[in-house]
Amino acid sequence: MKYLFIILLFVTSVSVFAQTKISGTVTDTHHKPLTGANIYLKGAFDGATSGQDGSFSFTTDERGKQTLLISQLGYQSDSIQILVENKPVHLQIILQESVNKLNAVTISAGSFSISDQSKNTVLSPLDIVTTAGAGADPMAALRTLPGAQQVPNQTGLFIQGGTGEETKAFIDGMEVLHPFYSATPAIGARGRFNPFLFSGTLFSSGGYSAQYGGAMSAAVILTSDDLPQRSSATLGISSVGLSGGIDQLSKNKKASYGGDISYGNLWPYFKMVSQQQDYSLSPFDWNGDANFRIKTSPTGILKFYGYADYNKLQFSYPGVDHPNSNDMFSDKNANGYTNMAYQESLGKNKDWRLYLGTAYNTNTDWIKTGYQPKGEPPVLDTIKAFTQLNEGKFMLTHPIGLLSDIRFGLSYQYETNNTLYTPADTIASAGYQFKENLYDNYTAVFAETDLYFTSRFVARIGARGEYSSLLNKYNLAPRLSLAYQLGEATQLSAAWGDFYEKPATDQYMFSHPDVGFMNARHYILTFQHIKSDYTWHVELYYKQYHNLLKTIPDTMPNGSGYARGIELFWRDRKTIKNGDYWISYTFLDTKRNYLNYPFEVQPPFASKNTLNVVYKQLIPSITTNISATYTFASGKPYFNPNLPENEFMSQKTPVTHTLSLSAAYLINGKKTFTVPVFSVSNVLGSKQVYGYNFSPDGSMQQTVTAPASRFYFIGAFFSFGINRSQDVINNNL
Amino acid sequence: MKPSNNAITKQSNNTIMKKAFLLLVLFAVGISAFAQTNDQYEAAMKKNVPIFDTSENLFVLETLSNNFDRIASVTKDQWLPYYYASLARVRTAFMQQDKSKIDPIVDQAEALEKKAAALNPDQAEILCLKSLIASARIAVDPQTRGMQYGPEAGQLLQQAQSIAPNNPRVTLLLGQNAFYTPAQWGGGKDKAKPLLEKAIQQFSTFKSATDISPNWGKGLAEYLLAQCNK
Repeated sequence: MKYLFIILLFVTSVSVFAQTKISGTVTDTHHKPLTGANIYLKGAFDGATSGQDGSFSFTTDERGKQTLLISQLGYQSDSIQILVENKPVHLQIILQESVNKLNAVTISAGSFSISDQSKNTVLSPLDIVTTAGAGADPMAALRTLPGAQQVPNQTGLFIQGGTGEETKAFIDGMEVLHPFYSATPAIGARGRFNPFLFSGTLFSSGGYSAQYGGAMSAAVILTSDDLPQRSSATLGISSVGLSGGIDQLSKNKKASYGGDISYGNLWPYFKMVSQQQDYSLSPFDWNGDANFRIKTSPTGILKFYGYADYNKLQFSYPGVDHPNSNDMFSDKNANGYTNMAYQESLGKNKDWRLYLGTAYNTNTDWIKTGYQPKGEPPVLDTIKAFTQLNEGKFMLTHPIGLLSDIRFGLSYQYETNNTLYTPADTIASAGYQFKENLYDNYTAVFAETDLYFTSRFVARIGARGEYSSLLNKYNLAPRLSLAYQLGEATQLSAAWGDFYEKPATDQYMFSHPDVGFMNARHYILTFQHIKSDYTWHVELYYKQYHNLLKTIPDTMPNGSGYARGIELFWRDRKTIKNGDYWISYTFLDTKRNYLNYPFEVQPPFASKNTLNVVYKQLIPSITTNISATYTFASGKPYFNPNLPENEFMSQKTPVTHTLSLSAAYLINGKKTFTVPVFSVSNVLGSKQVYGYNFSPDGSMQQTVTAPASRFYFIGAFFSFGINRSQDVINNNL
Repeated sequence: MKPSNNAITKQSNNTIMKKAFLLLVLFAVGISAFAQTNDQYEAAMKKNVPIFDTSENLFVLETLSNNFDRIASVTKDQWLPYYYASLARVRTAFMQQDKSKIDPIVDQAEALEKKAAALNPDQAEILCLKSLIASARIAVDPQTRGMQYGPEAGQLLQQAQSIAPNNPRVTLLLGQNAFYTPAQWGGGKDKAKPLLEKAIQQFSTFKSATDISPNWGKGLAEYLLAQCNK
């Protein structure tokens, strides 16, 4: 007991010793003082917080060998062994910035990220919906970004000197064969996607991942939402139709399902606002989509997205080559798309990420096109075009260390193209039909690594190999991207790579054994500065085209071309209170020799200069959001058959100016959210000349312009928490 | 087998006394250390908790969150240090000018809130904290995030109200939400005023469980009410 007493005395006497002062400074590796760091002894209350100058000081009763811990948000925590005796301790502590996915440099050459999360985000999904002139079409909103051409009379996204076919869209990793509605003469078609279904969009105008192929110019990579936050329902009524949708989250929040249905008909609108075309059948459209998402485990998710659409239209317009007759066009279109993707982490350490995906596309167009002499029955060719694409994709991703990773996989597509062309029943055609059925087995393998040399410097090295049974050709596309972080928000990136694409099927129906993959080689340099309130994006690129398809004098894969340009993007969300604007400028120098071109010329979808100014202003006192978009595009070349061949495409259309406005009034009830919207595109009614059509002998000329000088839209959207929506639905049905 | 067993027993007999003695010593030291820590805990909390309700200074709040972190790192079984550490961080998040810094801070606050919630928590106070965490996230991008986190913050408070209708902080935060929501969106001073008045009345009768249990907010309620009356 004597020992015990002595020991107890010793224990209690520890606290009787004089206190020791521990002080010092905390800085980062650049000797910048760090404020707010926590410096303390392990297992004790004793510690301090560093001040403005990084200094700290505290006293302790502890003795002997102690562990001093230092922690600061955004920096790697550190620990130091110190010996606490009677003399004061002074320390100079240097903290390393913590390295994580959030502050490390990311691959960004040639791409714009649109999402709520990603730190390199340029636009948010909501920005897309509120951009004037885009009509809630994500594809149209992308046209306000640099790199995109304004080609309102054609369908598709024309990026950096590429045609609309050179841009492909992907949903959750898999290709969408028909991201746009079917093309009609002189009227560009809308994109098919509902902007609210996607949480993220990566718009890549080149240099994109080896995961994706089949696009020489650009990829629009859409990521569908994960589980919704809560159940909800929406209703929409507008000058073009009706829509409704639900999103239901399960009680355990591990699964959800949802769907939308809409019916659109432009008949009432065309009655009120006259169009250039004379519609004998106003466009109508039935559209539905459905989705489900199941969290199969803490790390696994299964997603399904299905889409079906049926639409029809018929119109006539003054013909250029048949005087005293009208040209006629009608299309009945049925389109379906399903996409199922499964992701799960595998392996003992759950560090293998598995991706499995399957997608199905089907599209049928029944087109009638021809002319109708006055007072006589129409002379119409009919085309039935059926395409189908089945796709499966497998990918594995594995991290290497903290930041780097490697991924590889396989993608397989089976494509069917059936075309049945029946010329108008005249004496000359006499029951002739042209029929072609094309099938393609397309296989791609890819491997890619994001290799971080430091947290500021990353290289993405990858390659993609493709084989097409229809072309009976292979290709191997190497790709390389580099990104270097210059400062906290500033980075410089470069990309180089080969991108291959099959020629569009309607062009090589008349197959030639040499016809193969077309190729574009990209060289891209991007400077990017992204802060939460300001974004700067400057891009320089050069693109070389090889093996483009030529149809004259013969079907040969010997076309060529180039595109080069400078692109600027500036966004500012701070300077104007409650205001937000972005300016994008595109300079494009491109020439190509393809199809029937006699030599390399600037193609008719390319403007040298394009400018977009998008401005949004929230007026809180009346909870109204006003948005304006101004677009300028310099003249585009057009084909004039009256000119000699050496002046092919040498004339240009006048410049176009477009100003579009929209206003949305937000009414927030207890559980409802109502948004009446009004918008006008081309408010000033400026003349939009997209090109000229000539009769084959060149004697007749016609201006290709917008179907109407302005487009008006008025509508209201309601969204409800599910509890109230049940009432609304019950009361309304 | 047997002989060796006996040998071990004999040997053990010799050491039993020593071991018992040692255990006793360790036990005594343990009690002493425990008593010391517990006293230190109470003292440290009592030193920091009152400052918490009176300070509006970013650096003071950062210091407080560090202090509560340190206390939590020693007394891992108490929910209050985690609770205050989380709350102090949320308050610094509301003061951040640099929007990119908000999410990392709120992430920390959320991790601390989860630890507090796991330790026999006062449900209503935890729900208030959760609601503040959701509100703090809105500032990063109000247009996009408002739709998600605004209703979430409101729902958490409704939930808190159904559990503890007399908790003044629940009423205060409901009033604060109404105060900062424009009238067109279902908020406004007229809506906030009765709630804040009710909160102040509840504060006057509210008895916190211990000296260091949540008891903040009266000053804020008075400040907001004064703004309403302007």
